[in-house]
Amino acid sequence: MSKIFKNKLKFAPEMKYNIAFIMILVSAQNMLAQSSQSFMTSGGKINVVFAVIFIVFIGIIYYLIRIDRKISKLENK
Amino acid sequence: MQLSWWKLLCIVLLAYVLVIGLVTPLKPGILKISPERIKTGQTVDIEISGYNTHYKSSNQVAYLKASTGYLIQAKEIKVIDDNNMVASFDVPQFLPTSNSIEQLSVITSSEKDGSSVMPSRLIVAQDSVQLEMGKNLWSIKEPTFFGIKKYSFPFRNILYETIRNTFFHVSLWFAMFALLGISVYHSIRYLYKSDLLDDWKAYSQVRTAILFGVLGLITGSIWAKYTWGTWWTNDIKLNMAALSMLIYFGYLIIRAGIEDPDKKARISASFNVFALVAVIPLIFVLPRLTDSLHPGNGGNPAFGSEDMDNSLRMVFYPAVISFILLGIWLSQLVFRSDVLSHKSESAEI
Repeated sequence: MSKIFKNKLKFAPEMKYNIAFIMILVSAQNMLAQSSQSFMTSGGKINVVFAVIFIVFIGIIYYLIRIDRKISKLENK
Repeated sequence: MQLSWWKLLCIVLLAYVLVIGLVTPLKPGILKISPERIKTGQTVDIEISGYNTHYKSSNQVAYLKASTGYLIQAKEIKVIDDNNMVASFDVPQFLPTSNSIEQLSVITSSEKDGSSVMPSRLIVAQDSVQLEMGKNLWSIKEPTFFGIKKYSFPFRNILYETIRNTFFHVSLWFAMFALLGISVYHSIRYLYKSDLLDDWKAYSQVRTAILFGVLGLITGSIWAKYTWGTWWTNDIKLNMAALSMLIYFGYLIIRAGIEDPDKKARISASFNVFALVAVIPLIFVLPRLTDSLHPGNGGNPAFGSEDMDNSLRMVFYPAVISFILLGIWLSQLVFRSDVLSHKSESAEI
């Protein structure tokens, strides 16, 4: 019984990376929230713009890494 | 890798948007005034804090303006530093309005900074209403305000520097819709010609569009936290954007759930067509019909002169084009890797 349960809980390797990506995003948001409100709102809220650019950058890099992994899997075959 | 002209254009435009979009300064503006409540018939000192201003380097003029167009000029201005000054006004006994309470706009003007406005922030109360007397005490003549010649982005209260998110958040959504449009074209082509390659193209474009949409939601959420004070509100624009993402997650689930490639392609292609038809009114039409907190909604189109001006357009249009090209580039990579993996699978069999 426990064996079946264990097997069901196993994530596919791709899923693992997705979960890791989401966890990174959530922790980044937490870090932003913990860093004092004044840091983000100082200087006419320019740091909000930097945070937005950073997130877009991270998202596109994540997408590229996924494609890269897929292609290297194909090469290994 | 062959670097075709449009990939090069994408890189150049992205670099242009990043540099010009971040380096260009905001126009000078008024951040804060204090006090915000005054009474008539007194001399009031109003502290004005500016942003990007140079109060020390040129002569300043300040006005109070009523909603009816009547003005008074400051009798004396004490400049503290480049971003702070105190303007003294002799506020007359009566206001040029027929209400006992009026919201005044504070206007400053100088040769170097141009003119900046703090709209309807100063609340003034009068004891009795004397419209004709008030009109005599205030001046109706519009003074000449200085303009600013330097290339700069508009200063908007509450938004401040985050007006630059127009390039990095709004253009993501524009690129998402462009990709969805291209994918619908490929889906329709598949339904006509039954070529599986068309369906894969549509699939890769939808996936890239979902990436852009999710990034749009996250970046919007970060902006909302430091503008509205919360990661998410029940605003119609936000909820409809999340809903349209869910519709496209449905597309992914349908594809994952059907084994037979032809059936999968046919069902998901028709789903894709209907999804876009459903999503366009959700994001573009509904938020304009009701009130929305989101800039550029609640009755006003985002391209009106209120929200967009020519200095923003100079960067915004290249940003949209570069994100669309980047989306096409990314989805092409996905598509090519899909084709390769299919080829290697069929070679094994």
